[in-house]
Order: sequence, then structure tokens, then C-alpha cells
Amino acid sequence: MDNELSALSVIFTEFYYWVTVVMMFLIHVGFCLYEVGMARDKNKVNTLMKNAMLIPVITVGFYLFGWWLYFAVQNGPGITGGLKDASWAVPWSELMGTHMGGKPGSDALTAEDTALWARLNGVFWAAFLLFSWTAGSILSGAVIERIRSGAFWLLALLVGCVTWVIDAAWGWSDTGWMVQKLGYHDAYASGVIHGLAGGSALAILIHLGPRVGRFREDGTPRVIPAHNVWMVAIGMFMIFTGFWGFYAACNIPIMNIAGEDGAFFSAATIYLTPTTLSAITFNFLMSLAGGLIMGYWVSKGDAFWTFQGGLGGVITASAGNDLYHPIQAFLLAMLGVYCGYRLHYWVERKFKIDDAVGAVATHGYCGSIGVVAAGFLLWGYPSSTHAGYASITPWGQISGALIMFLGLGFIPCYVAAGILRRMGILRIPREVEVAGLDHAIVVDDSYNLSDVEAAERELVPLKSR
Amino acid sequence: MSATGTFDSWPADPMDLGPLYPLVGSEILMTVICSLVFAGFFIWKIKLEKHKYEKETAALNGGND
Repeated sequence: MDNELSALSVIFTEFYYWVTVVMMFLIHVGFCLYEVGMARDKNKVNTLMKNAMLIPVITVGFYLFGWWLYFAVQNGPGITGGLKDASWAVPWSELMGTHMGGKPGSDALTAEDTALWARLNGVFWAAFLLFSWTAGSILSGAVIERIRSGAFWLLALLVGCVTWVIDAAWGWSDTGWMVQKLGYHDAYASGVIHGLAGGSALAILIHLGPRVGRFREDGTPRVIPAHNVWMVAIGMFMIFTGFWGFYAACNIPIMNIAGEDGAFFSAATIYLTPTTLSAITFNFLMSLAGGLIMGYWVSKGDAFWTFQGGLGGVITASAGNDLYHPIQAFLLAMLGVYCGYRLHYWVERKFKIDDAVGAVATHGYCGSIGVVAAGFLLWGYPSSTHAGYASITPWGQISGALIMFLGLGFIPCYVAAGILRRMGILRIPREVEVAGLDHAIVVDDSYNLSDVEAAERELVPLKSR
Repeated sequence: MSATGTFDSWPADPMDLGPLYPLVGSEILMTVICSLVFAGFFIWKIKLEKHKYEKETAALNGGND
């Protein structure tokens, strides 16, 4: 910060991430609209509060332990080294608060730590936090209309502040062990967020069971229509909009990619490999287009699957969207959405899984397919600028997809949801589910409109009444 | 000296400034309080839901809602 150029670079980076956080907030607004629109009229308020309160729950958890976890476990620990020092990310660090970057007051920090992190810690933390909200929100849609909010928030905390953070440390950091050993490449988080959250949602759905009446006695599913298709459509458009911020937040906006001997400033991915905003803009839009077309095509014009297809298309191509040609992104998006759609209905019929919003398909299947596809399309590409790291391979990506979907997605949530189920606090009683989750609010005196009307009549008697 | 902060005037060299928030040194205590409040929120919510749904189920089964 002692000359104009370095100050400009730091403050630009600070501002860049701040803007991405604001844009990504739209993802959460979109998820709220979408989920409430998809819920039936009798469940609107419960659905809204379940999703909205995910924001403070994951925020506090991510402040207390999630941010530290991201830095601390990049080596496994025990695979490429021990726990890493991350003294700027523990909640009692002076750098987890307002700080001007001057000399540290604690021996745990160096002058370099404070100079680097004082202006970037909060915005980096927030960018990752918004990814955590997204991971939690993906679960939220799948389980609407029958999960208890308390249980959901505990599961969202597990995914948003622990499991996704561990997988990001392993496979979505420049020194993560999966990048080093497997050559894992997932630039815009097909697997680390979407694959993992989809696997987590599937595990919870197994314990939770379908909504009352979702399946007929012969096992065929009944369609439960959205109560407000406009909310669903606007929500999806907002998620698409917020996704721009998500893509930008996955990049480092400006850094010297020429190494110590030269100077060439560019944007870089989370792996510190070069990319440009221009490249990812091409690919974001072409994969969105591919997903929308295939969603419309495979569902024969169904509005819900067309919008889901757009999202699934971007998610499928995201793993390699820093490097693909736009037409590759387009075709890959179509393939992912076709497979995701078919898998959704196969799993639904075969295992009676009631995924209310198709989250497992759009995020879990499309994300995992995208991770594997990147292994073939980018076979032999360098995964990192660091010397000695494995290059990108199909087997590295297949292993990575399994770690994300199964190892850190499905298994921890299957265990956690099983415990909550045994404790009897996972699912809302069926009588209440049938009456509606807002039933208690409707019968509550504070919402009793006839009581208000009686008071109005008493205070302002009108002859016309 | 400020009653709660580590400075009472803005120094000429900003690099002399570290943390700006009040009560520097109490970070661990604040973390403990925050953690307890956070855990308390979950315990409250789960108990509340248990009570609420028991009451509601009884009312719905009794048909007196």
C-alpha cells in the first residue's frame, strides 16, 4: 500500500470481491423465491423461513470455524502434510475484524500477514461464505414441505461449514492435496459445490422419505404443482444472474502470472492458472444456452425443466469453463442436462425419492458428470502452475467426482440425517404436514383476521356494516 | 487513551494502526460468547419445534383446532 500501483491493485481486488458478494446475494434471493413458489400454499411461510434463516446460521458457523478449516486442511491432513497454519482465519484473530494492516498485536501473526489480509480477509471470507449459503440452499429445495427447520439448519451447517469447506480445501485451492496428487480440476465448482450438495441432498432424502401422497400405491409418482410459477421463474432468473457473480468470485482478478522472473498481469483461477473474464463469459453463456435448449427439448417444453436445464447446463460445464471452447461448453451442457433429467426420473421411480425441485439431478448428477467430462476433454492439461503437480486425467477426475458426491457429500449427510431421524427430530409429523406447515400460524391469534375485523368494527362502527 | 480502543487520535503513519475495533484482547472471550449463543439458538429451536409439533399433533388428532 506504499505506492499507487500496489494500492490500486489491492483496493481493486478488495472492491472486486465485494461486488461479487453483492451479486451472489441474488442467488439466495432466487433460491428463496424459487422454493416458496414451488411449495404449496399451505407451506409458504415455513419454506421461506427455513431458507432465509440458513443465512445467519451458516454465516456464524463459517465465521467460527469454516474459514479456518479451508486453509488448515488443504494437506488432508496427513496426505501431503500436516495441518496448515491459518492464524488470520481463526475467529479470535485480529485480522477477523476491522484492521488497517499495520503491525500485528499478536505473535501468531507477521507483518506480512497483516499487510496482505487486512483488506482481503473479509471479502475473501464473504465470497466463500456465499458459496456456503449456496451449498446449503441446494439442500433446502430438495427437502421442502416435510423437514423440520432445526434439523435442516444443522444439516446445512454440516454441509455449508464443514464438508464443502473440506472439499474446497482439498480440490479447490492452489495447494490442495487433490490438485497435487490427482490433478483435480474444477474451476467453477461443478463438483466441489454442486456434486457435493447433490450427494448430500440425496442422502437426506433417503432418510426423510417422500411427501405424503407423492407416490401412488402402485409406486407411480404424483406431480405436486408449484403454487406460483412466476415466483419460480423469477427465482431462477435471479439464480442465473447471481451465477455471474459466482463465476467472477471464483477468479482472482489480477495477479502476476509470469512468475518471479517476469511481469504479465491477468486474471487467474482459484488454482492460480491463467484465465480471462472474457473466456468465462463466452462459456457461461454458451453452457446456459445449451442447458436451456436441452432442458426444453428433453422435457418437451416443460417450463420447470427448461429453467433447471439452464442451471444444470452451466453446472455441467463449470469444471472446465476456464479452458473450454464455447461450443464444447454448449454441447457438454446439453449432454449433462440430458443425463441429469433421465437420471432424475429413473431414481424417482426406482427408489421412490421425492426431490421436490430436482436438486439432486441439476446439481449432483450434472456437477459430477461435468467433473468427469473435464478429465477427458482436458486430459494432460497442467492442473497447476506449481512444479510436480499431477496433470488433469480422467481417473483423477473420476476419483474427484466420487470424493465429492459420495465421500464428502452422501456419506456424512447419510450418517447425520440418520442420527436426526433416530432422535425423532428430522421430519414434521404427518398430521401437521397434511394440515400444512403454516397451520400453526393460521390458527394463531396474532394472525386471526376475524379478531382484527371485530376490533375494527368496535373502534369504528359503520352503518354500512 | 481511549476507554475501549488502542488509540485516541489518528496517527500520521497509518501503518502504525492495527485493529480498529474496541476491546482488543477480548477476542477469545467474544468467540466463546458467540459460540454459546449460537449453540443456544439451536437448542432453543429444536426444543421449540418438538413442543410445537406435539401440541399441534394433539390438537389435530383431537379435532379441536
